[in-house]
Amino acid sequence: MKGTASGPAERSAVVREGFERHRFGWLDALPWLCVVLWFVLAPGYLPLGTQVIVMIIFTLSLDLALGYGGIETLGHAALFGLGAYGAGLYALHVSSEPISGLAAAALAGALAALLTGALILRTRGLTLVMLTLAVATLVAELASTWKSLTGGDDGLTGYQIAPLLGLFGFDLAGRTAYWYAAAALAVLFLVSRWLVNSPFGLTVRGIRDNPVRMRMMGVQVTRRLVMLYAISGAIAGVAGGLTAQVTKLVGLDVLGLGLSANVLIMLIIGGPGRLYGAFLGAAVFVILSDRAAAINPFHWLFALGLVLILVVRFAPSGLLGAAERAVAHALRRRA
Amino acid sequence: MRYLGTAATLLVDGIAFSMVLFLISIGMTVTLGIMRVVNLAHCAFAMAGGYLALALVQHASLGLMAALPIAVIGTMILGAVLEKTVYRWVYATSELGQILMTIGLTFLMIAAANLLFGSTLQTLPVPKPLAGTWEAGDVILSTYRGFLVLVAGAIAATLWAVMEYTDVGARLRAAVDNPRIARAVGINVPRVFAATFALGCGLAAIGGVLGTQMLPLEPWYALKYLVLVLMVVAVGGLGSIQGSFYAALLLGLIDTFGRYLVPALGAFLIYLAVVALLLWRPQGLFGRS
Amino acid sequence: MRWTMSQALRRTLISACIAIAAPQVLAAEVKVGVIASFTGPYAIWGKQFQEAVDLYLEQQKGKAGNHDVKILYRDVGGPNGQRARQLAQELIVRDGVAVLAGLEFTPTALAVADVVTEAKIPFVIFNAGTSMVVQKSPFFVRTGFTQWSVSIPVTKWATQQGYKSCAIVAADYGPGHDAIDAYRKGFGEAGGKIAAEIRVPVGTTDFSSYLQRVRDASPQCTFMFMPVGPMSAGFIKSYGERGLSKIQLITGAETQEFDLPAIGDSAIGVVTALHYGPYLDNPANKAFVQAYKAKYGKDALPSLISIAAYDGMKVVFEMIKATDGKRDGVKAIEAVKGLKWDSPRGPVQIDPRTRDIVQNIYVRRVEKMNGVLMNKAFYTYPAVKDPWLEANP
Repeated sequence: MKGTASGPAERSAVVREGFERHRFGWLDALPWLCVVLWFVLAPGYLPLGTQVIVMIIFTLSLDLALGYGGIETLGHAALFGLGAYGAGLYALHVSSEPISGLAAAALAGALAALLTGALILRTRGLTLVMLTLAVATLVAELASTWKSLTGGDDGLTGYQIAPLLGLFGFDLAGRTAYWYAAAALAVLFLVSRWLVNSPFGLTVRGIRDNPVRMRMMGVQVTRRLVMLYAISGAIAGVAGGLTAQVTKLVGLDVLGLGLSANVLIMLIIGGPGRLYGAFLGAAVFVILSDRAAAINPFHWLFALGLVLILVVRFAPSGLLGAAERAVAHALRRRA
Repeated sequence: MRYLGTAATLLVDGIAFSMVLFLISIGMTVTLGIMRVVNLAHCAFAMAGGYLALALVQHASLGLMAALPIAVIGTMILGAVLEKTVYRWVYATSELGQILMTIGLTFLMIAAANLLFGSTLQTLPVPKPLAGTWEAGDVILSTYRGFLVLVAGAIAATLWAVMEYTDVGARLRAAVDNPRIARAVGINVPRVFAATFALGCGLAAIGGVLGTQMLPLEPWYALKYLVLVLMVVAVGGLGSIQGSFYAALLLGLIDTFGRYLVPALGAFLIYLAVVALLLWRPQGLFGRS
Repeated sequence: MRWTMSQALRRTLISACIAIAAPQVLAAEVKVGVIASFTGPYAIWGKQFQEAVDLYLEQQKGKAGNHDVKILYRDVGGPNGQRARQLAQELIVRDGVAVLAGLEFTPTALAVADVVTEAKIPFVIFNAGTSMVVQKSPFFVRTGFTQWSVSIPVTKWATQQGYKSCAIVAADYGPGHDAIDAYRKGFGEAGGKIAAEIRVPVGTTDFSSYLQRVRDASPQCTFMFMPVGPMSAGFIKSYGERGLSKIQLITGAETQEFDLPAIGDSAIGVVTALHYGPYLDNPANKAFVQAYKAKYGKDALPSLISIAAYDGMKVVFEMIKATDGKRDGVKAIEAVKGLKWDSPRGPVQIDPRTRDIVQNIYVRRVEKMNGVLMNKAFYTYPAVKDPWLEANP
């Protein structure tokens, strides 16, 4: 009931909360401590670590669209995949310089989101879900048919990535790739955090909670959502671009329904609408699935299915949401 | 004359494929359009039917036609049990929650299928009298697909008659059109929905069992053909069985003729057609706005 | 016999002495990473690779020279290039393997190319049918077969039979394009007419529309390529069921003995060209099949998958012996260039220039003998080098 603050006390609570969201606490250092610890303690697992970071970025992009804007989508992989193909094609035909390649990936994701968003974001709910799925399927089939550009089922390969800043080559152990991805995450996280607490961010949250009222207040609902979707698309594109640059390979699976479903699952497991949910969900998902794939991927699917049903039923705000509630409960008891 | 023969062959192949899609999509369009429940696990019921029949063929050495009714009833029981348990949770959550829960359920069924039947592609054997081709001059038809067209046509006609002329059909239509008033006049809406759900699962199972020549069984079946079935439902218009019928026919024929006429575009053509159709009629061919 | 005994005895004594004198030398086991699909629709590749590798290991008593060989299996789960790359990276960096081996598809082989080049670790590719794969890294060696190496001989054979027109049907991806090019070149240059060329999307399960195109083109024979597994079996099955058997079907690896029961009698009469089949009549193959059956049951049969891994392990072991178990990729690759041996598939050699295998190609026909469908070889093209690699050095 944040939006309905009427009395002065409640209003000041809202203001205080708004400021608290901007302030960094010691808990904010935790993810970055984990990034450093991983590098020190698990040097043999850096490619996996890089994959975790890339998926955090991708989940973060979905959190902006879904968690803050309420855009229910089953086609987010289209934006990730177009970013990946964008970065791959840029490296193949334009330049092997990585940072401008990421910019190209962001552009590809943002443009795709802008174009499709303008068409489909007028709708909501079920229709929107179906349309995002249709768009993503169309993009995937296009990539699979347009073989001269994408390599089709053989994948897009044969491009090189130049050393980062002309200094750090992408080494076999994956050190450069790891720090490169981590730096991208840090920048994008700060941007996202600033964005969701900006007036624009508050507006889209209002739209998520009650689109009709926001429209009555004179907010151009669709235009705001398209903007948000484009920003989300740019971030998803960066995640895809990182994958393309780090693995020097883009396959059709970057556009698949499987990835769209997985990123949704990561966000829901972590907890939507709180940015850090993306960190927790993606890390848990990627690490567990990697370990489980080494044993038997179908057992993993079994566990995942079960967890998914139980999380939606008993912890709809994700692991982070459940943790917050547990902490709040404990604090109240003590008081 | 040769073109006529080719056209006839493709027509039968296309309609047979369409009918499999139609059978699988009925249950989906009913739950989605009428109960407003996103049931992404629906294709898993077609898969369950197919695998049940496979088990009966392999272990009880039944023929396909003997295995079919048992597999269909088995799938309906599975559907009814799940509807009474897991789907109670599904009904209670938001749309997003429904998507995730039914994806979770699909994962469970994929894992179970892999555990029980392995991960290779499998097809059910065509009964001997239906194998091979039926030839008349230039017209060469696959006997089995011709049979499929007849069977599915009969099922569609029966379904239509039940919906139009029986008390059960009237109750369902009432529950659909206005659940509140239907309840007020003494129709047990939840029970009607439960029965419809099980029936939808049974029809999907028929499609799953009879369609393995076109959609072979594998654990990923439940996700692989989901998009295709969703498209049939969307193009037909959510909740319209008649719409699903025509949409399945349209998409099945576009796919079959498209692969023949422009093989370079491959599977892409059908998706292009869907987006074009949806841009033209966002509510689907028979959808209510 | 006496001679072998004493040889074996002496070897045991020597290794016993070494074991006592310098246990640390023996303790240093050499790790070999095998990346393959153990799950998913292509799980048969991983299973049969592993069976052949384990058999070879058992026959060598787990030792290459005096080094214990340890195999680390990793599951790539299908044509997933990204995962293949990650696994290769981890096996090299974290597990410290001396040699990598395995893989079944062109995209996954291409994905690991620059990893092994950078790390200078040899990769013995068991199977990836696109010719150019071996050119993508100087550390690649291939022990399977290529599309060109079987397609050109089989078009020669078809021309000899007097076939004048053909249809070409192939899966629409790298190896399929290779097959189309090879069939076109071989059949076209001999004056044959290509009545239809049909590309089928990967993952197609219903071939009815494509088969109708073949029928309408009414050629004398059909050259076909599909990835071994669901697609190839499905195609041959519907080809027969659609009454197209009058048009001679000619292909390569698609009639594997493990798929024939599922394809059924539709397969009878299909002509194929391939480098290996379990019914090949030579002493090395008889011993191989016997050992295979002894280990995996009397109904087990080796296939082109098993032979690729079995001969691949021969190459891996030669590398380990040549480098004395040290991690020296350059030396290992040099050591196997030009390596010759008698494989169950007949005499073979690693081409010193291309690092691809040179082998006999057999023309076979599917027949039913005592109720069992099998490929029966009736003509041999000896010591075939990949024609594409010869033309594109």
